[in-house]
Amino acid sequence: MSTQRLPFHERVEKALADPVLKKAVPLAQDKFRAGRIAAAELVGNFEEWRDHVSAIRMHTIENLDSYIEQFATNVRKKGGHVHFADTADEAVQIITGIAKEKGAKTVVKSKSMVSEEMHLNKHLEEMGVRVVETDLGEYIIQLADETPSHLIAPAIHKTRKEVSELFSEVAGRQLSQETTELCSFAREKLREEFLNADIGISGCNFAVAESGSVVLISNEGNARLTTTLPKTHIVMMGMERIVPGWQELDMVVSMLTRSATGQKISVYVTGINSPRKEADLDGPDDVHIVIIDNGRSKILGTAYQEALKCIRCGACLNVCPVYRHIGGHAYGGVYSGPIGAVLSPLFDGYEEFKELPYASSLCGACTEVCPVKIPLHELLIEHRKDEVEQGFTPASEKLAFKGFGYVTSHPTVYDLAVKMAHTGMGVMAKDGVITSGPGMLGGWTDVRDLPQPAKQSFRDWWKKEGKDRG
Amino acid sequence: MSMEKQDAFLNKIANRLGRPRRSGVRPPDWEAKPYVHLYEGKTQEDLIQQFMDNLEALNTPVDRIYRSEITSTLESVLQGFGVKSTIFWDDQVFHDLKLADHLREKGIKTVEWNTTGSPMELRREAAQVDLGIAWGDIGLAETGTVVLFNGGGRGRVVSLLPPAFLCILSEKSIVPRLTQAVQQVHSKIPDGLPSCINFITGPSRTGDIEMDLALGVHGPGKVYVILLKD
Repeated sequence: MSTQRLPFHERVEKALADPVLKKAVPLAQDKFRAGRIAAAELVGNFEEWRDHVSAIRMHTIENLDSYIEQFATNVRKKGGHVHFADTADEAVQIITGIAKEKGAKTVVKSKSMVSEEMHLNKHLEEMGVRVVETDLGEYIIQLADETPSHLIAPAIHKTRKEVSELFSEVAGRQLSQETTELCSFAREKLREEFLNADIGISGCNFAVAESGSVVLISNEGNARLTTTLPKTHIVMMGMERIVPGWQELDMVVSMLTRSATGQKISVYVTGINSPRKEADLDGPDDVHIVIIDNGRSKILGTAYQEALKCIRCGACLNVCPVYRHIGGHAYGGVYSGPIGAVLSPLFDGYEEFKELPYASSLCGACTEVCPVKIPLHELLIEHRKDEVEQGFTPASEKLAFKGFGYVTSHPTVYDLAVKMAHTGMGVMAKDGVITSGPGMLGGWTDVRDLPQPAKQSFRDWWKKEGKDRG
Repeated sequence: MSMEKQDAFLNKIANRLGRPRRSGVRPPDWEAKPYVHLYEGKTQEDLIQQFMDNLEALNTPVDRIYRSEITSTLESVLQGFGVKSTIFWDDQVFHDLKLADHLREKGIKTVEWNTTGSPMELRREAAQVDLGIAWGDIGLAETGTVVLFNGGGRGRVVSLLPPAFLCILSEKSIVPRLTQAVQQVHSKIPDGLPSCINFITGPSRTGDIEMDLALGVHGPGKVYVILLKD
């Protein structure tokens, strides 16, 4: 959380100087990416799938009001409660209200990115409710008081040594660094929490409109425990998580797991269709579904609308050369990588995130892998355009482009400038190369050399030599 | 929850989309069926093999047996997983298999998921026994997934709390992929879906510590599947 307070460039510097990230991020990226490629090859016609799933998501977003209404109606029909939250504050109020009403002391949570948008844990803790994250990665970073650094693997930035230290402190005894020992400690410790918790809070991978079902996808099984053991289950659902029916669910789930980890399906896909029925001997008595806007509706009807198709697979993170070097925290928002660079400025404004659209080489690898065909790098260009129009570019850059515009539209000035370039910049050059430029030029020469501009410009050469050859 | 809030929320969405509120929209009849080639031309026998191969690749042994062989197969599951106590669904399919009798004959502690125990007692048992046994209503060949329709005597936690899980299903219920399973779910909607449906594929797993694979972090780390030749 503290990383967000630092300015963007300091966050990046910090990440680049981190030797753990340098190893951990490429390791995770390569593993996920290889998995995705193998899964896509096995399917064969992955492009057809992308087209189809993109069309499903597009249709849903374009008819979101209708599908949310249908979903809410079906949830209520089966005894579930539906709440609508326009803002993060409203969502927090609703959830803390339920916690108060139930007299909750402990909440277990399975992974929910939308809950990160509103720092829900902090709010619950402030009212005296203990919150326990139960996804292994989320549990690790909760103990470390950090935020997720990857959509799918939130704790990739932690080493096993750090995990062992964190767990040992909770255990009150020294644990080894063996994955199996650490996992079995987590199983034992968190099992206790599950059995005693008053409320389970989960996210929502997909909500099926035709049956009012919430679908959760996990490999560990913590989402099942969270939604089965406590008497009350609260679902935090971003309003765009809808699919029309089970037929469409099949398609998005098939694409989500393959794009995320390369698995043909995750270990647990769980459809929660209602609270406990009368004959049931387990499952929650109450299910509350909080449908959250928090900045999503203002993306509708804009050039960025397709960003709402996102199914949170993380494939764009796993191919991004920028993410590879700086990891998730440098992005400063809840969502990182290319999708984070698109979403964060939309959710929280350019004031806070004006640098993110520039944290991209525009190579387009993200757009190429996105299972729902969000034109990610094009949306980053769109952001850059909007930032210029809204005056978010630095004064020096504005001045430079104004000057460039003037010079290039006045031929005599241009000729003069080109002639002066050789001599002017020659002052800084040694053996025809500039290794340390002043001002903005330093941004270039810090990492590579700049050749001194040639003595004779192409235009001059053309005037003298080129014409005769034509 | 007042409907006013819902209406305001949905009106705002319609507004942003630049059109009047919509209601009752149904998805189009999708022409694209990009999954068909994945199973086209496969026989039921091919699908059964695929189902078994997929599970074997996920550390999950599969025994394909005649119903008459159930005792000896159970024996190997119990021995393999070191099982002394079990909890299982109270369901006609298991009554027909005489599951409880077979287990008791072997000296195994048995708990049936039914109202002879209070919900809290059942849950406590489920958290303590060595093995949970449930019936799979559908098996998915493409992924090695078993589909569980929970509810009533079919407790959710039976397949969740114990460290090991045994799923028994009929080979007749193996279908090509998720597509056929969701069709079955869809067709049950008018009569009401069970409160929870599980699609389970192998043992619980995590890679959250340095991308190192570990089994059984929350759900069962050991899974066994018995496929009945019917």
